[in-house]
Amino acid sequence: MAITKRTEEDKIEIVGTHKIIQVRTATIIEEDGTEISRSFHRHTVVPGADVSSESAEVQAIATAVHTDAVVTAYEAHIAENTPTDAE
Amino acid sequence: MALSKIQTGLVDSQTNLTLTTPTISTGLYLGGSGSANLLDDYEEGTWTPFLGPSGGSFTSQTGFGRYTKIGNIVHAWGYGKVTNVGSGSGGIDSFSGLPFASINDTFPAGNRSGLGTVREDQRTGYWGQLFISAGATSAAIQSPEGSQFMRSAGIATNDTFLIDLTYKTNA
Repeated sequence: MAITKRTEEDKIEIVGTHKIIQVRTATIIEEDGTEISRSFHRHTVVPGADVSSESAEVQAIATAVHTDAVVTAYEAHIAENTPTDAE
Repeated sequence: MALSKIQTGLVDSQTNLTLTTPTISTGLYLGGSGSANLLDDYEEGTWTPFLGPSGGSFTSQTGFGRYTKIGNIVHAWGYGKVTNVGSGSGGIDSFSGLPFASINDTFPAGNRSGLGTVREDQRTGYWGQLFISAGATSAAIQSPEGSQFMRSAGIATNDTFLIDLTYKTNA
């Protein structure tokens, strides 16, 4: 009986006008090759984010969709919609 | 009912359905058959909050959180801890790292997709409101009554911030 643990990015999505990348990482526990447990961890990659620690697949997606125009638009959107204490 | 979408365990008990360990791949209509009645997603998992200081940057921080997504609503809970304050100064301005991108709705007073609460739980007990920015994965902090507590009360190593928030997503 062999218990093994592995992770995989089982879902990568590009969401919304700002093309935010949602990454779901599954931790999978298997017994003799049969899955007995699966749990999820999520993180997101916004335009302009440092992707050096991301997987090659996510890096490639970010390079493709996070163009200069997308990054500029996202940064402007965040700046416009960040509340101040005066609000 | 599209029985082909239910893989195991369907019991019709007169007016209600009892589903035993089913997998429903595309959703379940509740209370009607319109798109507004479709429950098409449920997920639990973990995420990692990242603290944003008002000024400078932290040498190191750690964080952990859990989320539950029901349909288009995300409830996220977690904490962020400053393990080495480094040049971080002022206070805490924001959190990032939310598990799902928020919906990009437009409101007259500013685009938000949800609200939450944050509390420094280790040293000061200060708390603030979280504004989940629309179309983003971050939350800005606004102190109650316009005060500056959370954003300028100072920040120190080991300060720990609890987060609890609910927001909408279209993911």
